[in-house]
Parts: sequence; C-alpha cells; structure tokens
Amino acid sequence: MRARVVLAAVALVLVAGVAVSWFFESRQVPGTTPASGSYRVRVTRGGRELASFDLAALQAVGSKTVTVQGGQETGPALLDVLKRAGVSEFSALTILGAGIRDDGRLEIAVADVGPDTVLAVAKRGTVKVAGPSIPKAKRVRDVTEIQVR
Amino acid sequence: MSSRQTSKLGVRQMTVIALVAVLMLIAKLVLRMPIKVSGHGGVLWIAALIIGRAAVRYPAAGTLMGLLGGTLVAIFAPGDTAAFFTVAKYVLPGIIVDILAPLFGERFDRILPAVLTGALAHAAKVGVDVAEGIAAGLTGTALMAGMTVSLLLHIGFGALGGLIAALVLRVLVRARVPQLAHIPDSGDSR
Repeated sequence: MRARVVLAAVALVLVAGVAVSWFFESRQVPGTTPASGSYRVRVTRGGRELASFDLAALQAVGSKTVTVQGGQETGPALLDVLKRAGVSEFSALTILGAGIRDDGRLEIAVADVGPDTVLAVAKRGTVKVAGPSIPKAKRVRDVTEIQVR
Repeated sequence: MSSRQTSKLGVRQMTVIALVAVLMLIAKLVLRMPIKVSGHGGVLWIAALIIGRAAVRYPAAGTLMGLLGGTLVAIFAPGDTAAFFTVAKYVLPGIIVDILAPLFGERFDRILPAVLTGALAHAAKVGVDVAEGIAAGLTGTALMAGMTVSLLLHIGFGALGGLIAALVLRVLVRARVPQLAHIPDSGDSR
C-alpha cells in the first residue's frame, strides 16, 4: 500500500515538474527566441560600447564548425563578430565571462586570434570562446564582454 | 532505519560504490552515442546507480556513488560546467534514489518503482541545469527555452535506465548473487 502511494507521489511530482516547466516556458513572449533573453555579448573599446549582440544577432553573423582540442565547436568566427562591431584593427582582446565555470577573463594577443577562433554556442544559450591557440582550461564560458585594444 | 538496510559500509559495499562511480565516468567519456539528444547518456549510469543502490543497501549509498562519480567526471571529463554543478548533477539523483529505496522496500527489481525512481532521479539533473543557468545570469526565455523537451527526454531516458536496472536485478536475483539475497526471487515482481 505504502509503495503504491509513493509510486503515485513520484508520478505526480514528475507530471507537476513537466507542467511547471511548460508553464514557465510558454509564458515567454511569443515569437521570441532563446537569444532574446537577457544574455548579451558587448564589444567595447576604451570603455565605449561598439556593439551589443544577443544570441540571435551573433548567430546571424555566421556559423562555423571547427575542431579544437579534439572536440567540435560551432558558432560565429570571432573576427567576423569584431568586424560586425566595426573593429578592423586591434592589438589584443580581453574576453570577459560570467566567471562561474572558469576565471571569467582571458587575454588574447592579435596573433592568437585566427579564422578558427569562434564564439561557440553552448546548449544553455550562451557562448564561449574557443580556438586552436586557446587551451581548453583557459576558455572563457558565458562570454559577456569583448574588450578591444 | 529499515531492517532491509545496513548501517555499515564494508569493503564489498565500498567496492560496488567505486564501481558504479567509475561506470558513471565511463558512461560520460566512452559510452556516449553519436546522437544529439539531450540526456541519452543517463540510461547507463542511472541503471548502474539503481543496481548499485540495490546491491549495497547502505542508506546513503546512492549519494556516495553520485558524489564519487560526479567528482570523477568533474576531474576527468569537466566539459563546460563548473565542478560544483557537475558533482551536483550526480549527487542529486543519488539522494533521490536513497530516499526512494526504503520507501519502495528496497525492491528495485520491480519495474514500476525502478522506472519511476530512474525517471525522477534523472529529471533532477535538469533542476541542476536550471540552477546553473540562473547562476550564469540567464533569465526568461534564455533560461527556459527547450527546458520542457529536455525534461521530458531526461525523464524518458531515466525511466529507461530504471527499466534496465529492474530487468538486470531480476536476472541477478535469479542467479542468487549474494549482495541481492535480501530480494526474494518471487517471480511475480511488478
């Protein structure tokens, strides 16, 4: 008898969980995409904002799949994003992130930013910086700002 | 404490806990199918977690398996997730299995208890994903998009893991594996 009550309770919890998830998901503004949430990536130079991208805007820049450190990463090329922000020349970049999965900060010299350096799109709707010259341990996830020098 | 549980952790129990933890790592590293479906990797380790919990019968065995397995995954297959959340993704299912095991009379050889336990344990992983997203500063659509599908997939794959666990446990009980001697081979398990 007790086992049946527990079975019913577990089934109820599962159904309630799906219902709550569906409720919150469907409450979002119709027609919006995951990218239109609060997450954005800013491109700045000397404290001045050059551009601000949500995920949809980043994906509109283009998509490239590269194989780095044995894994495949897909997202817009960093150089293309910078170009879209109006950056034609730079000497170095500082990539800032949310800092919960890593240090949240990465300095990259211009020589280390190549065509295979991408802002890879993660399942949770944020981007991380990945490229052949960026060791996996130094990647910045949940990128929020790209400071151009 | 239920008389079906043991309050001591012997070498055999610890060996099973370690084996399940290693299986969690193997499931993460090696046994992933080349399909882009959220949560499919859970089939194996949820099954291992439930079988391991049935064999050990120590009240916190599932939690220990999750803690050890999650720590191994955080060290050897870190991915993009912070170590805390990686460990939590394995500990929380372990806690759920630990809570449900005595409530089901330690009978994970029965299909329904095993299936529902697997489903709920694996669904808990999605809860950690939400917490991780909130910690990353995501809100609204960015946080919730695709969550229901992901949750349903995790429930489905977790349930499948539970089903596999129940079927394997039945075979092991019939084979009279000593660690499962507390489960009667009634042949009428539901």
